[in-house]
Amino acid sequence: MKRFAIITAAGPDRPGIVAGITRVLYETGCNIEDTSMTLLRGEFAMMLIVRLPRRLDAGAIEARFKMVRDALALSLLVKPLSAKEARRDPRPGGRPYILSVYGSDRPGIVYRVTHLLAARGINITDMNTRVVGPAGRPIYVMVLEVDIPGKVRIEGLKAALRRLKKAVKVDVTLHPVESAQL
Amino acid sequence: MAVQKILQYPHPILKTRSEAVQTMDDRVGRIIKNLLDTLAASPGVAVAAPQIGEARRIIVCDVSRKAKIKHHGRIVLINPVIRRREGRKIVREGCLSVPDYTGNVSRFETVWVEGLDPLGRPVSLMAEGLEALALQHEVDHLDGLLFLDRIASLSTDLFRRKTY
Repeated sequence: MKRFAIITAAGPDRPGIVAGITRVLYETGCNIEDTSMTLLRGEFAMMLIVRLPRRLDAGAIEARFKMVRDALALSLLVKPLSAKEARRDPRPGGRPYILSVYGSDRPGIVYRVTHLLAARGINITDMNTRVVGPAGRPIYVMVLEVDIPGKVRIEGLKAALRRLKKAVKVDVTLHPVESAQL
Repeated sequence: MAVQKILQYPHPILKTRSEAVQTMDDRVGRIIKNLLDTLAASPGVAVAAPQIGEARRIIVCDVSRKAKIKHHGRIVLINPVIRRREGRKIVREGCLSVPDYTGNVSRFETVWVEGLDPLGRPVSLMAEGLEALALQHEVDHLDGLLFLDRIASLSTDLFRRKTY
């Protein structure tokens, strides 16, 4: 039985989107677990993991969003999750690193960087990219937070990134996230 | 005298300002012993008295178990005060009293701290890196502050700003 759901929604930014969504969740008895939301240019995007009330399934919840979805011009999807799928991953796994890649905008930067990571089993845990600078000479900036498994040698990864840097003509920096468990 | 349980939020003592130690009595000695025992048994590098249920301004810190960093070994500080801070930076912190969550907080690379040692003698030290972070974090505990009160940015937002 799928007792959880992930709701993804996006729409033109304005005050009241989160309140509109969470009002429906509150009124239907959904419990908000973890969420991540951000403003991307003019679009506000949301991901919410919720625990469903006993009497309503994901489809019924989605139907209850109709009014707010229309009023705020949101795209919205409710995907059912089992308790196992919705649980927090207890294992932070490897070592957290930040990878910054930037250079003149050209096709394929994101693909080549992420393919290099995927081929080594390195998981991306957070990522954002921006096109910045003057319209005539745009700069592409990409910042990733990655989880590097113990079996991946940092020196080997850095060498691969240096080769990519030459091939794609970007600048690349990899450094550990400074963290302290106190 | 023994390893104490590390209290977790929402225990109210974690949001309480601890009292300064006025006299070096047996109770203070007992708290220090318990803090050191608890630290030795914990996965962390520092503990503050309120974390073991004592709202007194006492902290212990020992980063020597982490390799390759500058440190003063085992530090016991009573009524610690941070006199000077240098090198603002953002660090991802976690806390034994707030399980399963880490956040990006604003701290300083180097701090100068004053206080009393277990015999009541004034001490002052300069700490850097992890030791400096630990002292800032523990002094916050004495003021009823958790790292959650100092979140500087969400997730990679911070790195975005740094990159620009």
